[in-house]
Amino acid sequence: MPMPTAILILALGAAGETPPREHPREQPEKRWRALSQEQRSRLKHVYRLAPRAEWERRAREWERRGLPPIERFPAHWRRYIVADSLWARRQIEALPPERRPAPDLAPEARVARLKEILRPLFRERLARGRRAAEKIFTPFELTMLRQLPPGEREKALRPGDHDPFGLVSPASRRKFEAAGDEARAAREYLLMPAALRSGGFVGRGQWRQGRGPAPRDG
Amino acid sequence: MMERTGLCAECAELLVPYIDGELPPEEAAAVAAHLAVCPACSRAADEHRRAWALLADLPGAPAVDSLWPRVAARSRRIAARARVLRRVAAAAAALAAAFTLFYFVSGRDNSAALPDPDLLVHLPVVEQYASLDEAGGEWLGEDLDLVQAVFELTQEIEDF
Repeated sequence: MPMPTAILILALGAAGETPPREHPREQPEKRWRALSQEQRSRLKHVYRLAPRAEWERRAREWERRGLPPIERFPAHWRRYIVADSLWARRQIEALPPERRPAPDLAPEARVARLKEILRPLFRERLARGRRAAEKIFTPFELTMLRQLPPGEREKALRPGDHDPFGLVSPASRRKFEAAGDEARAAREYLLMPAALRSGGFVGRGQWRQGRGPAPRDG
Repeated sequence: MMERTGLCAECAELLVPYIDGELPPEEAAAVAAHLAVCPACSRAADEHRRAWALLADLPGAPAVDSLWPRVAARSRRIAARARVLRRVAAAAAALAAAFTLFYFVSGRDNSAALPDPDLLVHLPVVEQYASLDEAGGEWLGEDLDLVQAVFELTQEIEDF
């Protein structure tokens, strides 16, 4: 790859999306008006699905757990969390009933049990994705792919030639498109949001003191 | 032929109304004074007067019998066409007004109006739950344990 292209990619990566830092609590009226018509219709629909008391309970529960404000996350982060949770649910459902977390466990204990079950599967999936990516792409291509902003990386990893920078060599692209399951694993691995993995996120849009978000979103 | 001066050109314009007696007295006096001194304009005035005298002497020709029905039919057609045009214009104006009204009433983004106050109170959590369901298929909102476990596992990953 010519040097100017590499410089351009690095510059684009540096200009990539940064994770949401703590944001001041917005006025709900202002937030409502900032949403698109489609989002507003969807929220009205979702709100009607449960009674008011249930929403109060859910708000308390969300707060208690310290879960992040995922509605403020970039769309690809949200897609990742949803897709990963669905994957995790399928893993749990595939287990024999005696290995699943007992239904009467307290939330904290159930989360701990779920993590215990999912951790090796998660790591195995990650390792499989990394191996597949390393098998398909050259080290230089991997470095460059990681530098791309998420949208461009997603385009470059789409089947067919959507790679505007010619980042992936024809040989690697042929391997990628012929790889089937391995290509899917490599794609999942490379599209994981790096900032979510940084370990510095402590919830409610805040980052652990001194650590800060990853310099780039992945 | 004598070259026309500015005065003659002006006289030529006023000659016909002068002969017809349609000019105000001052202008008529001015034209008469010019005709008294300008042989060319005086000659032109005489030619006009002779031509009109000849026309006046022509015998009147009676109109053919079929003329009036044709004129009447044509005027009825013109009137009917004007009525149709008026109706079309009125209909177009009404339609335009209806569209304008529709645009301002229905076309506006009504959803921007503030919703149920309870929804506004719970907006952040409703948004969070809507995000969990955005895959459009399976509903994750009821299993926050799973979402929390996945989120925490994701944060454990140091490898990339």
